[in-house]
Amino acid sequence: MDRATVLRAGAALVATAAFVGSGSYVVAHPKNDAAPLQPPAGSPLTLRSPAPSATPTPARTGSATAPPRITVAPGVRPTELPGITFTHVS
Amino acid sequence: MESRVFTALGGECELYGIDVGVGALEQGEAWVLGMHDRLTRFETSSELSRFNAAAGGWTAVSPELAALLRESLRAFVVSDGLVNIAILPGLLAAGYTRDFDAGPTARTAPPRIPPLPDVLELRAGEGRLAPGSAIDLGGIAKGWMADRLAERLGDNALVNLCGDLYARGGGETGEGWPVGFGDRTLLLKDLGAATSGTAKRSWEGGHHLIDPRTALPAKTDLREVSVLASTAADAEIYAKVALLLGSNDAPAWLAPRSSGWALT
Repeated sequence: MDRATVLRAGAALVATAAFVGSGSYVVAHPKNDAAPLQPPAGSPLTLRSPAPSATPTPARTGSATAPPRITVAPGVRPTELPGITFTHVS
Repeated sequence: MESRVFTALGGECELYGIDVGVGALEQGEAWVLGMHDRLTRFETSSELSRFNAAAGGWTAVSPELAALLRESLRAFVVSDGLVNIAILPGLLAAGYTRDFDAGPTARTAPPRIPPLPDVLELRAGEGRLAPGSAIDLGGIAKGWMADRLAERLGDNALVNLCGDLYARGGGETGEGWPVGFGDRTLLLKDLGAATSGTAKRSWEGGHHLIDPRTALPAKTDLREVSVLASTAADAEIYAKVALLLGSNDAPAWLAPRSSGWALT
């Protein structure tokens, strides 16, 4: 065999090995929805308070645990659109 | 839609406009920043601080400050005396003597808060505070400025100054500007909105909302009130009154005045 043929055969062998190898890996590692997150997301050890910000972001009105009691005149319509801004305590 | 967000008046300010040039929004920002410098009580060189320091004598006031002082007198009447910019001595006695980030100072005995018309006089180009009185324009200025700036920005603009906002025109769809109000989003068209509350700018044993009847931080069963009204200035007044009245009396007071409210 000449040198070119050897190189072609080598390249084909590497490509085939990569194809077969990656396919085997995927088959051997199916997605498992029940697999635990690593590290555990619920672990108290991983919970951290957000870092303090120099410019606090205003909290959206009504974000407290108790929902606000809202009364709105008939002429003012609600929408499913996201608000571009909101009223809040300053 | 063009927009601009910046920090002034102790919080975040947002300007939105349809068919409004970027230059107009930049001018709007410059106007807000200029008014901030004019009205802050934390700078001794501000026009407000100089006005307070000159209590007892007639002092020249700018057209802007004169307009805000007239608005404050109107707010006193509209609110049956519950919105009174002369509460500054009470705010100082409660410990809010410096920029909030610097923390409160020691509390002192609450002073008596006089009715605003008893201590503030206006005449052409001049104003006078009674000796010993001092004012804090607080939310009155934000609502009033939101109304003025929205008007300056054209027929389709929204101005939100630290939560006090005015939505002018119908926004992008023509049906109204989508604005978060309580736990929902409403379409606001030619309406103002404002929120008053005790949770923010609070510290151990106190908060920034002084009840002029007691000169002490307000005792109320409401934590926060948001209100819709025909102007941001009125919304600010109504929200503060509702908060001071509490959950039992606020709805009846708001019903003939407001287009909507959220009580928390």
